[in-house]
Amino acid sequence: MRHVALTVNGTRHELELEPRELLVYVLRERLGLTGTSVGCDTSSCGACTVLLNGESVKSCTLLGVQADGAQITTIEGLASDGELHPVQQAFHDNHALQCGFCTPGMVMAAVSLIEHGEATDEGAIRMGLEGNLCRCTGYHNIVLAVEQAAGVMGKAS
Amino acid sequence: MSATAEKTAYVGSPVKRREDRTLLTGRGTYVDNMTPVGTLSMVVVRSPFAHARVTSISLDAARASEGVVAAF
Repeated sequence: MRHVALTVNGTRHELELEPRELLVYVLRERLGLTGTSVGCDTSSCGACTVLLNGESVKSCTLLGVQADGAQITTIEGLASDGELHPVQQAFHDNHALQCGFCTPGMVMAAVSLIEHGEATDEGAIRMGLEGNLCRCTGYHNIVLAVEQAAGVMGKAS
Repeated sequence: MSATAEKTAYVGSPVKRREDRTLLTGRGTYVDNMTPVGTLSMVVVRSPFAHARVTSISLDAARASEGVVAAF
């Protein structure tokens, strides 16, 4: 067992982890943050995307022990005081989700893309979200939502 | 119905989904998030041999392992 300290959505957690435990299972099973989905367990689908020190990462690709000392933001930590984050609001406004399973990962990847100033046009958004799969929407409305959110956040090229 | 019948509140206009807020804030519930009391885990043990004929399988050690309910 390894001693690991994580700050998740602003709350510090001290955990004893087995070295083999993946970050996504630390979040879901140890901390009860089931908003982060496991879609494929093989880094293909992006449903488990979270922010680690502000960078989007697929949490099924990272070991919990690798995140020692990191600041992590999950979908549960995005809205503040009941107010949706501009990306969450834009997904609602544009009907960019149906079943909602891929949505947490899609939203976290979009937040990172926009904050890095890379959501500049439709092509850039489609490329930036290539690592996130959605089986419901056909992506069209997701791209519209990210364009809207980038505008609201003042990052639309 | 007259040609000037008023549009109803829903037909022909986009309707905002009521379930979005739950799903967008990570509070959606899927089967993978639920662990009913008494849930067991299943593991498939694959053959360690790439090309071989299965003549028998010994389950005694598996059945004797701690926490194992059944082995087939």
